[in-house]
Amino acid sequence: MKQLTKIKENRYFLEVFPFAILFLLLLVFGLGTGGRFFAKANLTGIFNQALITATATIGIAFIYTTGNLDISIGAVIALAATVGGKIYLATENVVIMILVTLLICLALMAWNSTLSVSLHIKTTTAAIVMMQIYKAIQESLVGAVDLAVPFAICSALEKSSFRIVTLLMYMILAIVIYNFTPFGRAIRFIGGNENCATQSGLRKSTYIRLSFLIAGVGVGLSAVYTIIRVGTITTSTAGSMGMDVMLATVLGGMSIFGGDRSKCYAGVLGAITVVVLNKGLLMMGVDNSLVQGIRGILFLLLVYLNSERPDVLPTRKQF
Amino acid sequence: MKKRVLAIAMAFTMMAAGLTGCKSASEEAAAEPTTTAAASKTAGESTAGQTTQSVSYDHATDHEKFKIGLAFADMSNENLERIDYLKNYIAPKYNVEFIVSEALDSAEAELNFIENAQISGAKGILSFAPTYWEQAGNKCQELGIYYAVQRTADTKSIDELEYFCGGFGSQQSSTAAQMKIAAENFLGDKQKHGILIPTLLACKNNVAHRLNATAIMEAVEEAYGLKFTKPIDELVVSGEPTMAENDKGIDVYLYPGEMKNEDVITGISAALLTGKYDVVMGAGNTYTQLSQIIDEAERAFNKNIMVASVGELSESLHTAMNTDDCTGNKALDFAVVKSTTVIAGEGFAILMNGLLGDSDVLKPEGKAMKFEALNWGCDGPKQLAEIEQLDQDESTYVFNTAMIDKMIKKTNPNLTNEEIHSMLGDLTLYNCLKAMGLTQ
Amino acid sequence: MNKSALRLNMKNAICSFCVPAGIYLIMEIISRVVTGAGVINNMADMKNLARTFASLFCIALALSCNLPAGRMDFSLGSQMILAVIFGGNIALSLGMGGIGTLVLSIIFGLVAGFLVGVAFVKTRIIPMILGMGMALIYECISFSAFDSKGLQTFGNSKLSVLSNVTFISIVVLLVTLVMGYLFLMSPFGYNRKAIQGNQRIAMNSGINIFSNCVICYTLAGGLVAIAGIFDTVFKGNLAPVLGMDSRATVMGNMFAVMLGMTLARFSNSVVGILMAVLSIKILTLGLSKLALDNSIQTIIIYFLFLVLMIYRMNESEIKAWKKKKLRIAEAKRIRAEMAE
Repeated sequence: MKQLTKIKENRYFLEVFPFAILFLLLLVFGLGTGGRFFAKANLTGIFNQALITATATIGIAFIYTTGNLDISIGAVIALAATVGGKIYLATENVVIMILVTLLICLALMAWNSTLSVSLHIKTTTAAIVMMQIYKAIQESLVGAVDLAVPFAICSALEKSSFRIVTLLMYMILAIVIYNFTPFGRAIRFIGGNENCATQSGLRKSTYIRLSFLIAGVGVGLSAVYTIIRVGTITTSTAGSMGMDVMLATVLGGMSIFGGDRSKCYAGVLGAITVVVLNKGLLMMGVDNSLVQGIRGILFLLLVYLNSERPDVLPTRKQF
Repeated sequence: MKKRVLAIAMAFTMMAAGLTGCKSASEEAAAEPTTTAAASKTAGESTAGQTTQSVSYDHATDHEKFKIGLAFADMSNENLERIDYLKNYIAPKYNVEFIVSEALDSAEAELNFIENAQISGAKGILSFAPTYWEQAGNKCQELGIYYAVQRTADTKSIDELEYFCGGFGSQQSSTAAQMKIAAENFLGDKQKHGILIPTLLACKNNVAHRLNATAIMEAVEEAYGLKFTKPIDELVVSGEPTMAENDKGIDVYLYPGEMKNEDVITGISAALLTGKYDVVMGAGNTYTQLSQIIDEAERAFNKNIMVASVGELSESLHTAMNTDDCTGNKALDFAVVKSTTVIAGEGFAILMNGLLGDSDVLKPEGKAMKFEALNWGCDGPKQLAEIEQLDQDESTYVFNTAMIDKMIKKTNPNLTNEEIHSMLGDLTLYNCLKAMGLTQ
Repeated sequence: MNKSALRLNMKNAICSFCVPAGIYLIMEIISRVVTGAGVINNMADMKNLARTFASLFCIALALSCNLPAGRMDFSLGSQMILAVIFGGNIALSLGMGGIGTLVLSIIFGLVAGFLVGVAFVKTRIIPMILGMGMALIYECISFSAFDSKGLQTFGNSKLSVLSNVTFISIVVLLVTLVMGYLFLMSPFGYNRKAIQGNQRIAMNSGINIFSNCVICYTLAGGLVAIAGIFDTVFKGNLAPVLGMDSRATVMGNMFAVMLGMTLARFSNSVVGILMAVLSIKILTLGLSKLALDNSIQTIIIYFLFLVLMIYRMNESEIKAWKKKKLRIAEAKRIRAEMAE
């Protein structure tokens, strides 16, 4: 038992554990499905299904790292996708649709950061209020008619290299900024000890604002991928994204309370883990009425094993 | 640390129990076909009078075991009964295995399910989630799996897809027609009534709600010979509560919004408690959430409020239709219902024709069609008691194997497209009860 | 009590009451101008206000058990569903009446909350993530139980007491008193406040932060059960949900807690929440009288709240800016006088 504790306390444990879990799940489901799990179509499916959440988590990691929590991104994606979809239907121009969607996300995330940085409203409070407003605006915009971008366009974009190229570009850029620039170090410092960082001369507000903007690009790409993936935008689009991102981040081995041990690729690992788990349970033939409960138990188990156990309760004031 | 290990062990045990339980269930299903083929024949023989001709096609041996994905938008009682019917009655008799989805509340969830089901070996998707039909239909086409969806409204953009077998469900116009009958019953006395119409999601492009609300409005127009100042089409899709002004001064109040929204119920309650309305006709399923507030309004004014709603055959419908309000009338006066097995069974039969390579019977002109069954009107506890005799078990399933065999070309080689439509069109309540020997 | 303290208390009481009263007055004027009728026209409106108020008040209090301490519990909605389905169905099968159903639901709510609390203290998983996991499990249990039928209350005359406004008012009063005592006057409440301030200091000073946390979760479970049972009786049934749909209970009602905590500066957290819920309900009722689209109502409510928050969070800066403006005006006036 002491050995186990020692292993868990090893500084590399949290780095390795999310990969080990993913590997273990792949192994279990691979064996359980007689190798069908590793079929090319399934692996493509895993990529497609994890893509939207994974892209958003890369961006949101910048916000989480600073110790802030924005749960409005589902509503941001839905609103941006709605406007993007409407723009496409009006112009029939994919480039304009993509640019408008990205710009809307950037603008909304910039507004969220303004509320918390310039107007001093706690990030979570601002996010909860804005989430409701964005959702209500989106509902009004969607209105009485389904908003559907033609499947042919979505399919063409899905099959093209657009998503993979943009994702790779964004991911590489994010990893470089996060790990190899003073900016990345600064936001980890702010997340680790805000007071100390401020007293060391770091301009917290500027860094937080920039974090929101970088996240805005990720959320914007997510919104574009959402249009490409689903085509039909409704009031339920991206409804659970805020929670999916949190869950993926934690499963990937990063705390949503941020800090110096954060990593921006954590959410990608987590998003893939969630998809693998969902697919695996379905392919193993788990009864649909039980699958949710089993998923809940597994999530808690993985998160439990995957996170540090503080001596006090892990809390963060949201208001 | 011991506690932690214990917790992990418990969690794994629970997970293993879940997985093991499920695996054994599928194994049981896999072991079933040989024995159930005989059962299928027996069931067929017992209703031999209903089949058009005897054929030698045996699902157990003449085709591979098909896996079919069942997509559900929610897990309502109606859908749970469909799952039970399909998994326990249909699957063993037709050599198929069902992969059941969770509640698919978004387009992404549905597309993910379709992809996952296809990877799991599904050859077809039987969808009871009609919202994202366009994306789902195209996705199935892309993956090369057959698709049938419970939707009888427009599916024009996917009708020509090879793998789309068609839409199925209850005939919207028959629901509207039943609603019209209810309106005529309520307003036939030519007295001045106040009419409240919860239009639900008619304002959010829900075709069924829109058609039903339109039918009710038309019936009101006819009953009083009145003319609304605005077109009915415009009134029923209004996003705000609207008083439909008319030349006869009849109070007709349209209240939009989902019944799960507390503000909507409160708003309707406030309207009822003005005492102006004595007729409530929902464009969809409204009686469960409105029963309480209607009861209160009746008590407050000691007058009967007549209620009509689209219903779901369940305990709550039974209670509503059998409970007396304070005026001695029933809490729910009229309901439009549909048979659980008819909708699931017709969808299955349509999909099976596609899976067995007989799409021609579904698409005589190369375009997918809608296969519509009738809704039934129920005007009181007596009629409900009759309806409740149906779909209780294998012996009372309206859409039993004999019916399905008649709708699958492999077991009924003379089957034509017209015949499918006419068979469904014949499923009136009276005919179904008669076929089961449940009425005189 | 000295004069200045009394004056301060009076001022705070008036300020507390002014918010809902002010909102009522504004909505009354708008409603009368637009529709010709007031916000509350008859007993029916009062009844609806009272009933929806009771549910939201209990949920807001439940949320406020944990939120101020930095614990956002996404499983509250699923606890409510579980408590009502199990408590309600078991009570009805035992032939209990409305009060029995309420009590049994509360017991199940307390147990559900207690389990989440214990899980949190033992695993130390971040509350939001733990809440999500527990919600998945609780939703699954509620769905699998009682043939997935949920709880149907319509047509059951035994439960009529639960829709009686007097009874609801008594329960609300009891809840206010009990929670008021627990939050504001009991050792548990003092410890809770200390933990809200700084849990490490609280722990070092001998407070058992873990048991206090478990009690908070347990109380929250009981409170949502009360809200759940009133809501179910009002709507006639409660259907089980899946796919984290129960999270709407938390997300949709957090606004009341935030406003309550803003208003708490004039009184205390319980009265603050009471006034906040009353204000929100009056505002919602007023807006519904204007026959506005639901989306427009939401935008108006949250926009107003945003303006309030911006003012509240920048009050000192606004005051300083006003003072500065006055100083400049004064200086200009003096300079002008001197020039003359």
